[in-house]
Amino acid sequence: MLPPKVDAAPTTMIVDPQNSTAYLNATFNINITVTDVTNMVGWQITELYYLNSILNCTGATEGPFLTNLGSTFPIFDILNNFNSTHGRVRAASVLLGSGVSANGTGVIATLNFTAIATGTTDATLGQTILKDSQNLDIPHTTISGNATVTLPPIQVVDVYTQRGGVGANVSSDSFKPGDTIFLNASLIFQGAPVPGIIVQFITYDPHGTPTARNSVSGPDGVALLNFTLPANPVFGNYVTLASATINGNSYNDTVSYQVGWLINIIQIVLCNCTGYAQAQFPRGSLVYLNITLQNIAFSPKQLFLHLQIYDGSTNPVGTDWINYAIPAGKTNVFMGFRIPYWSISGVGQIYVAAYDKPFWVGDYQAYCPDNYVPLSISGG
Amino acid sequence: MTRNHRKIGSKPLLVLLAVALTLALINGAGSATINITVNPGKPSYFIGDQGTIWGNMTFSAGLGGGLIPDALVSLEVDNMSGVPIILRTITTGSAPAPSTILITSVTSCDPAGNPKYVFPKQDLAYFKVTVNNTDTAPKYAEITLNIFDARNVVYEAFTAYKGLLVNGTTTMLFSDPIPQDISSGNATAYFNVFSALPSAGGFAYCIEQSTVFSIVGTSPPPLPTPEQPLSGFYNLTFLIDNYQRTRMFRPGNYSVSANCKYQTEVANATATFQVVLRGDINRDGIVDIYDALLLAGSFLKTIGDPKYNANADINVDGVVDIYDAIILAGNFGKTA
Repeated sequence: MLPPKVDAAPTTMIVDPQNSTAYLNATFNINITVTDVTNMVGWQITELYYLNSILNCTGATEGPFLTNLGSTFPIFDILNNFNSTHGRVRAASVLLGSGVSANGTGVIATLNFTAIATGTTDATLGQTILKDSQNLDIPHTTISGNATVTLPPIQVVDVYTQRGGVGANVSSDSFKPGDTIFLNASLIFQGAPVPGIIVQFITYDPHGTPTARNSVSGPDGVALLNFTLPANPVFGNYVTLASATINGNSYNDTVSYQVGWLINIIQIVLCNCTGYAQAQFPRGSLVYLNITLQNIAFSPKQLFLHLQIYDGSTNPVGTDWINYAIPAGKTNVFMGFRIPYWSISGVGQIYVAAYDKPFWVGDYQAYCPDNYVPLSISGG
Repeated sequence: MTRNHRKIGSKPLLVLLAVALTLALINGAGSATINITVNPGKPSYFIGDQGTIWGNMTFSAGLGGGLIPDALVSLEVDNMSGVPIILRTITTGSAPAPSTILITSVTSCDPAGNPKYVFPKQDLAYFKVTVNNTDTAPKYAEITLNIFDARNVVYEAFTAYKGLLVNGTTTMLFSDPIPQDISSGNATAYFNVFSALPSAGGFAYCIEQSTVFSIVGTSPPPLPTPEQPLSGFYNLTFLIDNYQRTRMFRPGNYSVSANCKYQTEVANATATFQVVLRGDINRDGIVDIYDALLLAGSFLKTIGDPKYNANADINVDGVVDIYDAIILAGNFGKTA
């Protein structure tokens, strides 16, 4: 007997979560998710609208649904002042190459918002397109969402660092090895600072290992504590829990923060001009580097990225650099150069270094250790 | 050679789909309102000829069909392998309105970015380019470098940077090797910022910027200044030469892509031309006895004669004669 026929679930593009909530001045993300799709190689959000009096879109990144399958070609166009009432996000991406396509459910894009005023706004998906490997439209429906911004609740205990985190369970900006982290726990009860209370700070490293210390709140109701990260701390997300007992009731708050290289050179891939990896390059040919960088800070950082190229006899045969504000999150920098005709063949190196400013300016600091990739140069 | 505004998203291949998506995002749909033409000066060039690419921009017939005097045309010439060898932008007259992305400076320099103008052959030249994005949103851009030597022969063309240009100023430096066998004298490096390469449907965000630098050695005599095109027209001239090291213009087929974004409208056009080794009548990349035999077989034949071989009429005077034989003899043994 044949199994009963099961109709495939309809494909949808949804705003996820459909009902977002955020406190005033907080940042939050909205995902765009495609569900139950088959053979998808590209997508386009022709328009997503929101009230620009309530939200400010600060950035957008592609989700993993396509990027997990290979190189993609993402495009984002954010216009917070699209008109007098609405902001607009347009986005698209396509999987490069052939033979692979996405199936199932996954996040195609993540939009970053800042809540700038209280109220509720729709996050309305307008026209959207999904493409399959035959370049045909994939029929689908869309489900829009909304976001509600409210005033933060009155905090009895509010723990934060010198780099932010004010509010209930709000994250602070990131720290690098050797930084001193200043923890502040503010105690305000019935509108007045509470001095002389012991506050317990428990900090959990990314492995979940706790470190507990105490501090007493001062006349301003703030208990202070600081500690310095070692030169080689565990990288990842740290969480500090601050607890205090006032009038017999226990109150607490958390602040989380990333510890790592503020900017890290995650990967260097040698490739041809179309972005496909290539191992060997003849003298006189063009070499392209696809450099993946990550900025774990909340905001853009000024970056001086320096490339030094050496041939098979360690002679310097090229220098490229870029000096710009690198956005938060992952960024790919694609730079090209020509191997001089007079280079010595053999295995050379390309060193990539990240600094906060050009080193001839002086008083510069490296963001992270250098990274390098071997460069195999053949005669030609 | 002429194509007008196209509908978005009609390309079958995935990469072209990416381009279509880009254009769809940037332009939206619309009816044809502008047209562009592109023409190679002639269908076939010999090594050593001066090449020309020209065309015009017009409004559609519904808008009166007049010439557009302030358009910015993005030009790309690709060799038979699809590798760009010319990446330029040319105006059809006056400068178009400034865009949100501008190249604010281009300088030849040392590795630290300090101005430097004189470079020896077989050394690295450095170029510093500063780009400003006044849009609050990051913009995807491809920054290209295209260098012509003192004889107006292209010796370098590639995409030096691909990625997002964030709001504010981005400064970059690129090193580039100077080949031994190019001409000494003043060379010119052109930088462009494209949304994608013209062959992929992209357009220039702004007028190209250039810097002149000196490659030490004896300067050749200056080239005649190209004739200024009429308003609404554009042209680009260059010398088709084939330095041993750079090998930019090998004999073969070349494709030209010309794109323009004028206000909110996009138009594109393509053309092709051929580069031929003078005397290579059978187009096999070498001037040899087989070419001589073909010339002999067509000797003293004129246009219209069934035995007239247009390839053998090297000087294109309508007859295969001793003048063609002399040219062939002078190139005998040369290879592509």
